[in-house]
Amino acid sequence: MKMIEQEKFWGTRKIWITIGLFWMFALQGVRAETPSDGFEKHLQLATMNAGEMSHEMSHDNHNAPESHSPGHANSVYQIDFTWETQSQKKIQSSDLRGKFQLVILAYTECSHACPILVADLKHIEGLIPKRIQEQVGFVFVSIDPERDTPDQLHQFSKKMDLGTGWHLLHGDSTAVMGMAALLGVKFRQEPDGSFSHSNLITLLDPEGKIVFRLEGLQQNPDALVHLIIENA
Amino acid sequence: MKNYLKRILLLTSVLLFIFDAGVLAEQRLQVPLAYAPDAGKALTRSPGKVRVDLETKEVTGRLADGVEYNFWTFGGTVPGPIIRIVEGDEVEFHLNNHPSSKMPHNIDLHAVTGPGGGAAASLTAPGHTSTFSFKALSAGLYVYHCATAPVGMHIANGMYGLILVEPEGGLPPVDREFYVVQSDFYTKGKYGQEGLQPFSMEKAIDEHADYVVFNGSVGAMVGDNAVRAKVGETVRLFIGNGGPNLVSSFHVIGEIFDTVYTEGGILPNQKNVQSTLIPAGGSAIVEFKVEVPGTLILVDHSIFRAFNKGAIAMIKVEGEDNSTVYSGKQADTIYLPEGGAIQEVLVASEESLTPMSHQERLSRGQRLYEQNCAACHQMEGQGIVGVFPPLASSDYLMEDLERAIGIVINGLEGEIIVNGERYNNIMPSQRLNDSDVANVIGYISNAWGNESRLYSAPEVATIRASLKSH
Amino acid sequence: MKLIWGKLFAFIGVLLALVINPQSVSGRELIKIPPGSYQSAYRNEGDPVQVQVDGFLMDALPVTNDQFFNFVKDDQRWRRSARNDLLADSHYLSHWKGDLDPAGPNHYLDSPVTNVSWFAAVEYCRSRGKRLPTINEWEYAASAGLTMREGSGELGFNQYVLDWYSRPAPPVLPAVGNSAQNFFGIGDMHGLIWEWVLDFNSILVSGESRGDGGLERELFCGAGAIRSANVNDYPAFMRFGLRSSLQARYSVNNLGFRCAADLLGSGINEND
Repeated sequence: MKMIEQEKFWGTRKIWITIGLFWMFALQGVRAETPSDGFEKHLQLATMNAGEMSHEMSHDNHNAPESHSPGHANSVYQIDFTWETQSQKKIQSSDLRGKFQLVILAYTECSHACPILVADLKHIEGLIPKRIQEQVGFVFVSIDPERDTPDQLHQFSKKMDLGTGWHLLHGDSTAVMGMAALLGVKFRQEPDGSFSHSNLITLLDPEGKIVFRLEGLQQNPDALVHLIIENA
Repeated sequence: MKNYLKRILLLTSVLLFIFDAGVLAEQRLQVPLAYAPDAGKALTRSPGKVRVDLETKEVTGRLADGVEYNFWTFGGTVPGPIIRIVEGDEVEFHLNNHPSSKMPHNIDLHAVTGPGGGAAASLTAPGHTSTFSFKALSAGLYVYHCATAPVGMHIANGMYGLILVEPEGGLPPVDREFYVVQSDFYTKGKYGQEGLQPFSMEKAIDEHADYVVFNGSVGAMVGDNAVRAKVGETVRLFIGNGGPNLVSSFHVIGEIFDTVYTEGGILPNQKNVQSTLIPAGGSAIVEFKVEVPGTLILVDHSIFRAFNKGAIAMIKVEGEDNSTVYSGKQADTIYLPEGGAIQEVLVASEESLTPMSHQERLSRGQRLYEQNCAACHQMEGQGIVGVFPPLASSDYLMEDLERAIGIVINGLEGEIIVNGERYNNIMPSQRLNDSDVANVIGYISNAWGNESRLYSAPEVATIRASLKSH
Repeated sequence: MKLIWGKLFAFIGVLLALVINPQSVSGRELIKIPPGSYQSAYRNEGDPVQVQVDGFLMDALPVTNDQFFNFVKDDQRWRRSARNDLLADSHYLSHWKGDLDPAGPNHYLDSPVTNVSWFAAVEYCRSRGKRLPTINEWEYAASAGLTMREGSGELGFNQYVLDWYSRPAPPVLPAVGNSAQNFFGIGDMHGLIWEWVLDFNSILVSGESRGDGGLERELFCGAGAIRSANVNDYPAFMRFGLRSSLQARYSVNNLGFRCAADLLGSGINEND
């Protein structure tokens, strides 16, 4: 009786061990093919190790689009600024929660980089698969609140043919400065009234945590898009 | 059947979770760092994903005897460590700025193809880290340095090192490899002026160096700090020039470079070279086989830098004599008899005010001996029979040390008899201040079997004065 | 002859001021800075060389550990244990023994407070009815010598400022107010700590200083080329370099701040 029981014992387990070994070897191959480590790891770290990150990452080489979060794991929506959108609706930063948000700081009078930055965002918009389009939003924060009134922003969104997923935000100087400080954007007003600013696209996850920073114009957005698709 | 399916799914998801967690762990090879004069290990691996962690730190340390300087460093030393990677490596570079730093720092690696060589990506505030990645496209020996404004000041304070990108398969094997970096320092005070010396921007702009040194300080690779090799071995030197300003005319006294990789490129393009130029912010690789025992002296052959500013380093070669290659004559040395001492120190006006211990005086004396006397009297005081008298167990020396002091001050010519041998040569006067004369005599009279009390600087001054009045 | 005497007196004046004239001014004092101009180290092509600055008020001295302690005593959100990682990194107040114990082995209570983020500094000043100074205000106030309006005209001034960078960090950070006040009546602008400014993130240099002669068009959208206006102003380069390496949440061991205020309508709160 015992012999038969023993056989039964090992019988089932032999199967599991074989399956286990099979998966081990199968997955080795798969793992080697996934895109290089970096951004995914940081997304996971961002959600897991809220208090443990002692590492700070500053802005990266703009030839290597894999960027790292500024190192904190908290939502930027904690600082809940008030804004007025291009439809003259009053919203809070936290109202942006629930979707991925791609954020830029720019202004409408800008002739060189800002149109390119907006085009970059539209290009990313085109790369988002239809099924998750509802989960991705685009945010344009104006650093020129004086000239970029909600009405002006509305004109601009028409001119640039921006869809319903876009929020163009007007805020007071404290809100703009605070947003810039939270996202690590640099900007300055020149004596002639124009602005200089860093070209940066920040990806916030639905919680409002910074999970990707794409610095520079016309950068390859593949890693960023991949991140959204993986986690949507 | 359903049960079975459930279990398979459970097992699969468990395994997937384990392997996902595995992805979180770094799969990169950590690149070891080696500190001068150690050149680290030759690499034979193939290119892959690697990680470098380098710290910037501001450190107060010794620039010369009695002279302190606030160095800005990579890795806590000047020069920074040598980084060895392989052509084709994908490097994830972490620059960590120590929290105690005053300054932000970044890094420009000449091995990097990309904006600023990495400098654009790596500006780091104190207490923080920057990360960037690059691929090592070209093999060669490259300089890295800090490029934060004002760049000249960051480099002048010691922020440079070498990164070696080895060709796949490595360089041809040799017996010994050493890592040496020449650089120049600019201080408010003159050469040798003691105390904590601040950086002088004015002298740096005028390119008037006070110190020209190998491996970050005067005597860093001299005497007990010399590196060693054995007769018959092949030696390779990875030499960098951190600048900030001066170009090096690099020469090893007692050797000819069998092979030179000019300017640190990957082609061994020259043979049988005596002195090779190393541009500021550049490098060179030289190889030679050591054939005879003795001390090889590395210098910048812009020679006042060697004797008056500290550009001397040593390789001690041990082993069997080979008299057909070298008989022991001094004929092929370039030491000029008068060139051994600090030229512009006015005697008695630059005395050291900090009293030194007995041991410190002997150490200083030894250093002085090696720099000024060993060329003729040899490292062990044995001299050269018939040419330069010995000092070890020398009856002539030990019977009248005050006379010896006088000889160091004024020189000597004419016939003398030492340990039963006749010597008739010229010893030039040594331009050393009183405490240095006392210290070098102190060392000589207490080394190699000699024993004596130490003389003080005032006693030397008295002797000096009495000699003048003759 | 007269010229030499003038310079000699100025030189002696500077020496005396540096050596035997330490003044401890109450940090609560706000000094009125008159309108004027200064030569900025960085400027845009086409900009005037001298930058005009309106009059404003500025703290005579940096904010001390003691003063910051009073702030966190009242506002527990800014205590170390309540640290919000979004607003201050893990170095925040790391030199204090505890949440409400501002002492530590490497500083005095009236040493300038360091290891505070920009958000913390902004909030502190706001709670006192003040604000952080702008770069222009700070640099303008710092450009004053001890006896002259223009520090660069003073013998020994530039070397004195530059020397701080050559020195290692002191084992104990000195208290505020132990160096001479400058021409405006402000102290400790040089030689003690770096200081936060309101628009620290308006410096559009990439950190790759060899390339910063022209605005890096890939990274920054902007009108003109940033040029250095005064190639000899190394301390200013270093301040700009430090600022551009910062993010708002950083806490750095030798970076503190002082507050400023507009001339009119400032609701100054003196209760700290």
